[in-house]
Order: sequence, then C-alpha cells, then structure tokens
Amino acid sequence: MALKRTRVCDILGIEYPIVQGGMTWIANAELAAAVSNAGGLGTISPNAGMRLEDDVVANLRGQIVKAKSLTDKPFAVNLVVFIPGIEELIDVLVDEGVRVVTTSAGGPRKYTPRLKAAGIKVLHLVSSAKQAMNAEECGVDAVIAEGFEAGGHGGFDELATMVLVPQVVDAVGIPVIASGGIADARGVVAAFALGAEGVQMGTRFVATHECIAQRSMKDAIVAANDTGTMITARSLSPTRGLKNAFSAQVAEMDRRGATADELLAFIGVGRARMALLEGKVDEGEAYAGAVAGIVGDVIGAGEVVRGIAADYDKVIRSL
Amino acid sequence: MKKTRVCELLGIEYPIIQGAMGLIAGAELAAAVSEAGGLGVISPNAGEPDWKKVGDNLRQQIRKARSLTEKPFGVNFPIHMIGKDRSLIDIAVAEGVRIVTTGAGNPALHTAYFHQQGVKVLHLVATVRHAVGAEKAGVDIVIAEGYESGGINSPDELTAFVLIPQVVDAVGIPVVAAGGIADARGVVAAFALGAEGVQMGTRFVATKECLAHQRYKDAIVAADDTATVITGRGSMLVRGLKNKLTERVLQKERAGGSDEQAIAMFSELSVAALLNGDMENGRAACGAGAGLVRDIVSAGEVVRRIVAGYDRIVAGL
Repeated sequence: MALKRTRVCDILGIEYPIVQGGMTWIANAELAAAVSNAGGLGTISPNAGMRLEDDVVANLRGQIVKAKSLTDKPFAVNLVVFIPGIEELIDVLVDEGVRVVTTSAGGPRKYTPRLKAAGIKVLHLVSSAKQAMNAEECGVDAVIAEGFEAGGHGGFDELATMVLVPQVVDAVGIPVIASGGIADARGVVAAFALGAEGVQMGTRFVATHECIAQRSMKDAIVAANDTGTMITARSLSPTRGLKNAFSAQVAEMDRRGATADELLAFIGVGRARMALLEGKVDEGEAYAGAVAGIVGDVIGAGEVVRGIAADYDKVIRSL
Repeated sequence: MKKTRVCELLGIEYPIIQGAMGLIAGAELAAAVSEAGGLGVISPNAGEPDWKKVGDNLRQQIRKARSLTEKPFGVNFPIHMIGKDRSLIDIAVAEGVRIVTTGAGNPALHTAYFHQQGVKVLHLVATVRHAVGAEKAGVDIVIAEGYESGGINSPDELTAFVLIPQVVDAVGIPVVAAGGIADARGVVAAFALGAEGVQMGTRFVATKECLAHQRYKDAIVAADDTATVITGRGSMLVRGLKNKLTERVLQKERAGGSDEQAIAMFSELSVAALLNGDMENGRAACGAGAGLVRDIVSAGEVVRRIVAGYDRIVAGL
C-alpha cells in the first residue's frame, strides 16, 4: 500500500491522490463517499440522479447532505462553469462546507476567487498547456489535465494523455492530475512517470456498485473492447462515448459535414441521461472513455482505490 | 535502463527503436542510433523520391550504414508499397540485414519468408485485433502505435495509454510502444503500461544525422502542444504539422468533402516538406509529441538522455 504521497494529498487532505471524476448525472453521493472513505477523493455532480425537470440546486444540497452522512473525509463537487445558475450552486456548497471543487468547461477566472475566499480548494480541468497556464494564473490549486481518451465532452485540440501531461507539467508549477485513459495501476504509474501527482478516473468508477448509473450502462462498459468508443460531433463539441445506434447516426451527420446547429437539434436535451440513467444505452449518448476496454468488472468503488494502491508497487518493481 | 526480451531478440543494448520515417530515415541516422545501443532502421526510399530507384537506394543505404556501425540495424518495409514483390526484401537479405519492421498491410504475406532467411520481424499494429493477427502470423514483436504518432494513422484512433496495456494483455510476444514518446518520461510511462521497448520517430527527425530538411527540423523544435493535426478522416488519416495545406484540406473536410489533390499528390507533398523544406504547402508528417522536442541533438544523445533519465524517473516514483 505504498502509492506515492504527493502535493495533491497534502492540498486536499487525502491519503491517495486518486480523484473520482464528477460524471454528469451519475456521480452520486454514495459513490463519492465510497471513494473518499477508501482514501481517494470522491466527487459529486450537482445533477446526480435527478429528473430533467428537478431543481438542480435542491438536488445538489441533498447529495451533499447524504455524502456527509456517509463519510467524514473530504469530497468534491464538480461545477460545469458554462451552465446557468452556477452562483446558486456555489451558495449551496459554501453553505454546506464542501472543501473541494472541480471546475470544467469554462474559464477559471470568474469563480476561482469566490471559491478560494470561502476556503475551498479548486481543481480546474484543462486540455492544453495554454489553458493550464491560464488556470494557474487565476489561482487554482491544481489542474486536471484531461486527455483525448476521456469520456464525455473533450477539448478541440485532441491532445492524448501521453503528450498532454508532460507538457502541462513543464508549463505550470502547481500539481497536475492526469485524466483520460487511466483505469488501473499501470495507467497510474504511467501518469506519474510523465510528472503527474494524481489521477482522475471516470469510466472505471462508473462500473462500480455504488455508482447510480443503470446496470445496462455498467455492463456495456465491461463488455466494451479496445475499439468500443468513438468521438462524434467534432464540429459542435467533440464527445466520446460507446459506439451504439445513436453514435452511428451522429457519425453519419459528421461525415456529411452537418453544422453545429443541426447536430444540436438532433442530439436534443437529456440524451446522456437516457443512456446513463434510463437504461436506453443504445439510444442515448453513452459517455465512456477510451479505456472502457480495460474495465473488466463491476466492483466496489473502494476496491478500485485499494486495488490501485496495492498494485502500484508491483508495477514499479517491474520497471 | 531495464533489459527486456526486445534486447535479447534483436541483440541490442537498449530497447529504443528509431522509427523508419519515409524519405528521411537514412543510413547515418540508423547507424548513429545503433552505435548508441538502440536499433536504427532504414527507410528504403531515404533521400530518394523516385520509387523506381528504390532498390539501388536501399542497397547503398545498407552498405553505408554497415560502414558506419557493426551493430544490428533494421529496414522498414511498408507492405502496401511492396505488395507481394520480394525484390526489395531480397536486396536487404542479401546485404545481411537480419531485422525488419513491417506495417500497413497483412503480416502473413512475408513473415514466414523472412523467418526462412533468419530475419526477425517487428510488425506495426494499432488495435488489439491486429496485434493478435500479427502474433498468429508469427511475427517476433509487435509495435503498438498510438494515435499520437506522426504520418499515416489508424482510423481507430487508439492512443498509447489505452492501446499498449490492451495489446500487452492480448499477446504473449513483446510489445514495443510508439506514438507520443519523445523523452525518458514517455519511455517509463510506456514500460509501466507493459511495453518492453519504444519506437520514436519525431524525436529522431530533429537530430543532426537525419536527412530531413533543416526547416522541417526547426519546425518540430518550434512546435507547441497544439501544433499537429489529423487530416484525411474518412479516407486516410495522417498526422502532421498544421500549415496552409492542412488548413485547406480541413476546410473541405469540415464541409463533408475531401481534398482530392492532397490525396493524389501525397508523395510529392511529403517530398516538398521533408526534403525541400516547404513547411507551408508541403505535408509535414509529425507526431503529437513534437512539443516535447526542444532541440536538435545527435541521435546518440537522444538515446543516452533516455537511458540516463530512465533510472532517475523510476527512482522518483
């Protein structure tokens, strides 16, 4: 159990520098608490488990209260910066004493000062060295460098973890957390070799008992092989998910050069929720990382963390 | 640096392979890499744009490399270029080459023939299925090449982080990692993922011994993390430096079309950039790790830096 202690552990007050991604719709309190209880950092998504018409502010408060009832350890909340009503979400997490926030899909300039003033640690998601330098200048505590492999919405520059992480490490002085394409101790050691001081994993944590995702979604991840995911909607927002009937339709639109507006109209609202929470894996946007082929079982979230901590040394001894 | 089965199979000191970049992987480069303990690999058309003269060129390149080093080096055969014709292969074998890298085609076509001649075969793959097929065809080693790599790329877009461990899990033969590796950090990362060697292309372009035009080397050194782009989705994926050519091609592709001229003139456009230094209008194959390449050094220095960095990085984990 000798996973390296890094600055990420010290900043966040955690034992292992393993962060669970705040996957939209499905990063729920039970999952976050299980990861934090195992020594990592769990993350809640404000819309975890809710219906489209529900109030996200009330949902977030409920998730935080539940997580606090399950763990005394720190956990995070993920804020997608571009969504409307973010000020109210920040009110809730400040009020409930959340200690860590991860921010993504928007600039860090606007909200970092307020979060920092409230004593909250800020981890900001970046997908290029330039974005990382900007985030550091805005005062974030660490950057999460997310590679092309990651599930869901990714950067336009398509930088893979192997090339993104070392260049971000060279560009900033704050700690770098690697994300995208990591699901086991091999990936964690590889990320650390590139200079990362922590990892964030999403897809691996979807396939856990505690995650609120539908069983059919977890099974689809476990069944996926190396070519099981693809990028679609490059002209709108490059999105990685499992290959399915829906992604095939979007890919066909991509091929004939559909505009961003056409794609937006076709994809509509709540597409990801269909796959993740409603059991319609084939009709929805089944967000999953390219690492899905490495995920071979549905296990406890704590077991994911403990397994990596246990295997870390074994991988290092093989080097 | 760790000794692996790749070292034993190839008779080399360090499992660091220089990719055989078309047109520019010549004898001087290959010999310098091999002299430093890695494996240099010659491209048959190094410095020779006319494919009709490739046989003589290959023979000269091999002889020159042999005059520069007594250590093993290899030759690359793109299977789609040679097809069933074994005349180039026979030249290499007659000249004493005992290691080849193959790619872009069916490994079953020539592997048995190579083995009859006592030649070891390393075959390039980009998916688990192709790796399993290559092992069945009898190749000695697979080179698992990720989406990060420069030049012609697989439509499956599997990156090093996800491709390597899955190929390692799928085959019993050694796996060499390629794509996105340019320094010791990348080598240790690849080994952590289970690789037993690495192949690097772009890092070796920016070396004193490489035949590439100086402006091409300088462009790689100047590149940052977002300097490369994929063109040819839907036809043939190629990663290269962003320039006027890629901008024109991408404009057509975004509208659902393709640039027929860029496809038809593939070789000419590559010659323009790689050998003649036209960095705006030529096709400048380049890996996504170009931003990690910050100087032009000797090829031997590239190998030595990695060997020195490897132990230091492992000790810090």
